Amino acid sequence: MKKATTVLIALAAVGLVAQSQVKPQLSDKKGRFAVWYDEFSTEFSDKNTIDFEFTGSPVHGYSRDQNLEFSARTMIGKLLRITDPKTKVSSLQLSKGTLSGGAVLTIADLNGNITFKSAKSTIEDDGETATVAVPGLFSTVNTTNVEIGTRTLTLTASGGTFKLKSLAKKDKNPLLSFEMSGPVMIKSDEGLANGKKTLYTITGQKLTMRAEGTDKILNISGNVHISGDDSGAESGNFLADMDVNQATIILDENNKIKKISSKGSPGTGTLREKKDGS
Amino acid sequence: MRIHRKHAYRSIIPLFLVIAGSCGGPTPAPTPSAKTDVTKVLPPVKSVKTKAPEITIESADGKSSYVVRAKESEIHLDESGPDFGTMTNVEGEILNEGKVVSRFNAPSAKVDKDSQVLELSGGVEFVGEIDQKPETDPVKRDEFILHAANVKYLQGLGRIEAEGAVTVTSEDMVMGPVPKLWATADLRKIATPGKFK
Repeated sequence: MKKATTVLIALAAVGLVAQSQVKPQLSDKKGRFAVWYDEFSTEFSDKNTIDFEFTGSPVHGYSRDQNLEFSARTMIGKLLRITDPKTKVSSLQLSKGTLSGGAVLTIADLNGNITFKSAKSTIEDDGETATVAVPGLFSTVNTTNVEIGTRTLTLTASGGTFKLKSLAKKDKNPLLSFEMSGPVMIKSDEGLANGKKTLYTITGQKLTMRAEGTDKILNISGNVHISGDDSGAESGNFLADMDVNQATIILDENNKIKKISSKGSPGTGTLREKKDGS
Repeated sequence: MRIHRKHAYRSIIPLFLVIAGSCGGPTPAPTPSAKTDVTKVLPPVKSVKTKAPEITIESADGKSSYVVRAKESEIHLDESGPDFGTMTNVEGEILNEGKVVSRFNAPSAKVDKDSQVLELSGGVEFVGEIDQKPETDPVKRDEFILHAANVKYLQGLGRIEAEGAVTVTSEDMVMGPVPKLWATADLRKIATPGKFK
């Protein structure tokens, strides 16, 4: 009898836990979009546009057609019902979203993904281009897959705006350009979790980027410090410390340094070659 | 909000009179003395079961209305007149300015006499028509279907309040389940109660 009671209590406990884990959601029937929340409101401004507000602990979800995942305490914005002209089946896509409270946005591309972490962020996608705006302190991590594991490019700044190709286009390199205000830091790490090493760190006051083919042209200005610890020929081979007023750094599609050139005030830059073990 | 009683009674009172009359057996001869006798013989009627009633309730301003059809209904009576009581196996529509904005069906319905609220219960299906297409369109109608254990329609506020594993589905979307959900009658605006504006 006692054993049966114990089993019943255990089953009830499991049931309660399971129930608490099932959160309500809004999803399309194709399984391309879903969001989990605690409280919500939606309003159809027309039959294909849904204005929404979700709150939760946290709100989280994904848009597979946009390679996008998101999470925040509150999310306000607009969803679009996109109908496939061939199948006539609709799916949902995020047109606009303002995320507040532990905002995390992850945009996946074929090389890896870009994650934005901040207190608040806004994403807009008009079908041609997408914009991610982060008004305050944030970090973004761009992870790419390389032979020995992953390479991460971490950008930290006090604010920034990123232009991307429309997320629904699923481009291999979606990033078109960005502007970040400082102090800014760029840090590239490579390797597996237990054998990670920093390839280079760049700090400055202002950073802009524009894409040129698969390359990323970075312009950084204001007390720029570049520190490279990479002695591997496969990984950029930059082993030095450098202080300049302004620098242009060209990264390849795997965020490997292809070229560094100082600009603006030649003569103020210093280059100190590192020795092994330094 | 108030029930437009005159309009509402238009359909129910004749029905009640027919049933009330049939409860008393053969109609007495129309003489003054016989009329008095009937009053003494018939006990005060408290409730009457009817078949297939239809009631229409209009808002005071006449802009919105709803129609409830039931296979069976129980009408309660007191000094202030008939109350629609409980109706079973109901279906109906909510109209706004003459246009149907939603349809519903439920095992049971009640028009609350005091709050004048329509209460649907027992597993309710509520269909809102977000963008009603012409009847000639063969492809699809853009319908949103709410399922809930119980649904109240507060005519004066133009709002429905659903509770009990509430879901809203359309041809391409699913919302919920949530324990409680409020919405406009056409399901154009849907929210958990704390978020409804």
